[in-house]
Amino acid sequence: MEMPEKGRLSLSQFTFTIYKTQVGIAVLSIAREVGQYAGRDSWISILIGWLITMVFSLLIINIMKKHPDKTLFDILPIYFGKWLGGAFTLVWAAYGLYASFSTFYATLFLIQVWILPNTPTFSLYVLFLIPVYMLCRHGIIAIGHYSDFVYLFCSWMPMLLLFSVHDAHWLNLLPIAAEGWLPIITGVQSTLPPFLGFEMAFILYPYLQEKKKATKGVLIASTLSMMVYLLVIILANIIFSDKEIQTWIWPTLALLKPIQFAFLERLEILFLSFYTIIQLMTVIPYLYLALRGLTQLTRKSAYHPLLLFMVAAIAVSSLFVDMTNERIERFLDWLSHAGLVMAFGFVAFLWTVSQLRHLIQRRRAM
Amino acid sequence: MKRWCHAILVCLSLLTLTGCGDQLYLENADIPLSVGLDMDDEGNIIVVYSSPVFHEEASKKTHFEQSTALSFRQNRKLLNSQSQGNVIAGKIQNLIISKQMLKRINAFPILDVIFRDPKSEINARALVVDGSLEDLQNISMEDKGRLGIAIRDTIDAAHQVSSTVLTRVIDFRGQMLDNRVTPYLTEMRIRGQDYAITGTALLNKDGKYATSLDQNESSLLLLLQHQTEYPLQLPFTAPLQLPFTTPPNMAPSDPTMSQMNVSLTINRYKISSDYAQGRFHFEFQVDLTANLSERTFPFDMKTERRKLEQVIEKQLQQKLERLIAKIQHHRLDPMGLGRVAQAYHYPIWKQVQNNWPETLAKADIRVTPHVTIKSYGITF
Amino acid sequence: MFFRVGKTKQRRQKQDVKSIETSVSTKLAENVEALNQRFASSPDLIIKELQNSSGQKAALVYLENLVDKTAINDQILRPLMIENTAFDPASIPIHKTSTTRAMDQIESSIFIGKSVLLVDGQPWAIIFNTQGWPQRSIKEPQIESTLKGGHQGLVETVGLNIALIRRYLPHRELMLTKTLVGERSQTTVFLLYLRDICQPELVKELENRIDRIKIDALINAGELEEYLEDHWFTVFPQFMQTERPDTIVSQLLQGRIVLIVDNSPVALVGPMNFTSFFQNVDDYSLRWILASFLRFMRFFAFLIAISLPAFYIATISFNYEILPIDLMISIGMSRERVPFPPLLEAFIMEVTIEMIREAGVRLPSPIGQTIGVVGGIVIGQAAVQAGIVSNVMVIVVALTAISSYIIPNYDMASAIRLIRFPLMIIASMFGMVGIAIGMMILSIHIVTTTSLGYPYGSPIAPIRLPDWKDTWYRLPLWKMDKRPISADPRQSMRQGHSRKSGKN
Repeated sequence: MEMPEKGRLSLSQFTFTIYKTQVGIAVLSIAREVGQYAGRDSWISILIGWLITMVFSLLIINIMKKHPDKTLFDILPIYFGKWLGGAFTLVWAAYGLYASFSTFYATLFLIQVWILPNTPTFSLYVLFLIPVYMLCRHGIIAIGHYSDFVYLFCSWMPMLLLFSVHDAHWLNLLPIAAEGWLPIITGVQSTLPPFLGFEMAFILYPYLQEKKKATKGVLIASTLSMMVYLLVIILANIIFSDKEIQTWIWPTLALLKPIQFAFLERLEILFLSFYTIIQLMTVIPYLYLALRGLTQLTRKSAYHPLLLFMVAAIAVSSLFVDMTNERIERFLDWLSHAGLVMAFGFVAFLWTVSQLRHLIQRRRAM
Repeated sequence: MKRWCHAILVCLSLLTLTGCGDQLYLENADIPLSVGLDMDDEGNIIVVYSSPVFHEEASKKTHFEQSTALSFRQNRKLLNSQSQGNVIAGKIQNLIISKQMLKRINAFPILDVIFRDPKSEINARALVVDGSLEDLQNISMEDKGRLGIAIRDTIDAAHQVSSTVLTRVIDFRGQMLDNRVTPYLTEMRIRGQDYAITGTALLNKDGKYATSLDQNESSLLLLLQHQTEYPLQLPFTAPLQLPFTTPPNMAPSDPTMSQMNVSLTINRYKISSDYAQGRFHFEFQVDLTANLSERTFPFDMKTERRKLEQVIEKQLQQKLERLIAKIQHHRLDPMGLGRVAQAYHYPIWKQVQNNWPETLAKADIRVTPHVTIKSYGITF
Repeated sequence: MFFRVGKTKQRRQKQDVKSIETSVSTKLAENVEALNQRFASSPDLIIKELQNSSGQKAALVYLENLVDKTAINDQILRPLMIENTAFDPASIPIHKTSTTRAMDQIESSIFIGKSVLLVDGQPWAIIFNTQGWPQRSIKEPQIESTLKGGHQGLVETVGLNIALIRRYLPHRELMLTKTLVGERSQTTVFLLYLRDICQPELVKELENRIDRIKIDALINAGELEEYLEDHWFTVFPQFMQTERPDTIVSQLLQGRIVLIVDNSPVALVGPMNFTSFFQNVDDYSLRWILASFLRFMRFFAFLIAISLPAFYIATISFNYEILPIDLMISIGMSRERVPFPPLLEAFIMEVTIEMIREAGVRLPSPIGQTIGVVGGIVIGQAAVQAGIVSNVMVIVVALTAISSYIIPNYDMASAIRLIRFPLMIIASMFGMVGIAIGMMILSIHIVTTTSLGYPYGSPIAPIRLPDWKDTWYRLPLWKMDKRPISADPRQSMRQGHSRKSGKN
């Protein structure tokens, strides 16, 4: 039972895996979450968040460049020794697990609220875990290939939002920065968690076919995500007033709800059903990340049993953990904090360490 | 072996998937198309709805239910016990609110369930009805089909000829929550066995009924709102001083002999705003293209076109200013001038945002229309 | 008991194997006796004793119905018996002769229709290629008929099939590797590929897989597919089965390998990807715009064929909100009389239509058409009037059936017809969400499937943009300078930059 890891990732697979990990459940609520700080200037916050993300993505590539054939989990013991490195590995695996679990719970909760309120939680969990298991089983190359597919077949989804431009009030975006720059800067911190997922480059980099294009890949991925977020935020702001955005829990779905075609109405039902594919594409890479970390600590053949165990754990947890709106909010809140620490804080730390190491090595060589 | 395990696992997990708690077959559902809201003397809410009958043997195509309770949702529970199927709000085509109720209370909080329930339809047309909701079921539907669809189609058609606004439930919510605009709803009248769209009902910031606009005023409101989806249909009267070409013995003083109808499309629309001497100044600068659709008096279009344009401009300006005066008088802002104020005069807006209609009532609002007649049909 | 019987049989076979390792004796009588023993229960074995003018004896041995009798009569017996030619391969006017000393080779040669001349006093035998067995004339393929392509299909004789292919590709880089599969049947399997295009590792991999096959007899090419494929738990064909030489040639030119099995009029092509089952030879002889339209239509039909019944079930039992009100009312009216839940209703009609189709396939074509008419129109109409199914359901089923027939490849069309049943079940349990997850499972399955180690989902996932020229749409041929990269050809250029002629 070893991981089938033959093959390499192309630039598009590298890019889209990161992009699909980034874009997930946050799209649905980002307009409200950033809006509560930055109001009608949310779009500026998202641009700033995007720039920060790009800087950190470049840091990751900078670290990985020095070890072209190694994943994060191979690097950690090199930098920090066996025990500390192992501890960091465990922390990363825990982070991956937490991210995948909480995203999964949130996805299911959303489905239960909007579409299937009376269906037993357990059976929904099992249904959603089948694709998670199927894809994770095949490893990172399959995830990369599938990201290609998801990108192609879900690219109509952001386009759908454009149909909501019906009674747009562009004046809603004015005046710019009326309350000064402080709210915008405060808003930036809530724009960073939606960009989480770029840390997937830690795992994907060694599989990338042309390493030189890695920089391009992470930049494109973040830019694609930024464009989606920007679209959602601007649309929400020109269609709803400030106050109204704050009254919808998921403003993006509220944007979709009134769209009508001659043959189809209530697009949010269709959208949300198929959006689960995108949401699961956030769950799957994180789960893979966690399992990669755990197998690093144990042995490679443990991958498949561990995967089965995790999947079973999620399914069984549905019997004990009752999801409520607050609990989901809290889960996602913690995830944001964890993400800020891991993907931004830890990356900066690791980069500093790697630079220092590099300097010392060079001095020794001289 | 591994593959077998996998297959068995998938099969087993499929077996556990027996949940279908959300299944509800279409033919077993009771789907209200029109929902009416009224209030009785004790302050209870009356909900009336009509839904289509699928059953072949039933002689009526539409059936009505009515109930009285303290809230919308409680009513639904009552209605569920009265109807054959499960009442579901997913396909409401129009939400009818009685004028009497709107005069007494703000109806917006009552509608909460519509927005809270993800399944309910928020595209339903919101309208105010002048008359008793009990009359809804007396409307003769022999030549109309199903009530809910018929009302929706009537509203849409009336909106296309600019006789009324088109406010969906979700738009109404936006208008209620936005302090830069006051709500405006379609107004309908039920008389005996018939109904008709009469124009627009304007609500004040508290969500109570303020005043009504007739069909022509509604067209003018659409113009001020820069509603450009359909051309605006407006009538004008030719004044005596126009140079009529042919036989003066056809007295133009006869009112039926001095009518013209014009459909207007907005070419350029600009609101310039200013804040001076403690009050706002707004100026609508509107360039319109006119298509003459009817003219009952003789006139030389070739040489005197500009004069006709001037007449239209002048009358349009008068009518618009009269409408604005009416709106200001009732402390309303259906045009959404608050958006302009917020966008361009933010510091002042922040001070006045909580009593914006009052502020607007004191503002100086002007309209300068400019009309070009593009075509006058296929006869001179 | 049975077990023991089986064991003794095995032992006997082993003894046979030992006795076979004998060589030709110099005495004719011994040889004839040996052959008579080997062909003990073959009354169609003919041993023709001959004697030439010098008194030398010989015997011509062959199986009566496997040889070309004219050749035996005119080219062998006439020179030997009338013209008294020497018993020497060089003097017999047969196009291919060989000599052997091994008895077992003589035996196997006789079994495949060759004739053997045993000469008294010589320790070897001459083998003449005089095969001639009953064979069908070349006809148009039944399930892959085209409008404009060639109308010749493969037949059951491997040599003839190779001839058909060689007529398209008279080139020295066309490699043919011959292997025998089947302990008893000794069926010839030819591996065809273009050496300068096809990846050598791929050829090696396929040869290894063929070598690993240990079976009694290989009767059809379809059987071979099951032994060679990567995944058994899938409905999708991982090899293309085709009867058309022109399809075979175009696949060879893309760097794929073709397997031709003797006795089977079907060739296997691999490695395949999902989208190549949506291509058709006719596409290349139609105007490219029209061909592109057909391609779009096939993908659209694919979506309809797998998801329309599921979509119908989901909308009328869960998510009726997504239907516009007028449509919803008309569906509601037609559903009102139906006593069954939507899933059952859909199953009744879908299974009926599958049965009608299957009934039509096995019947002679005039009756088959009648079945189609009776089944489709009469049952559909009657079922609606009896209130068993709704009008809309009949439309849905008919549309689905028609859509599945648009897919040009029979195996893929059958696979698609099967997929819609699980989708229907999942839709009846979870509505639209079920369809979405079902689609996700299906697409993950396609993406993670491989054919001979090559990704099945290519060029969609992994994205291979250059191949899209001939996938979703078909660009003019002069735009396709390069071979599709899905099958990883070694030589990428297909043609020079040939601009349209006449544009000077």
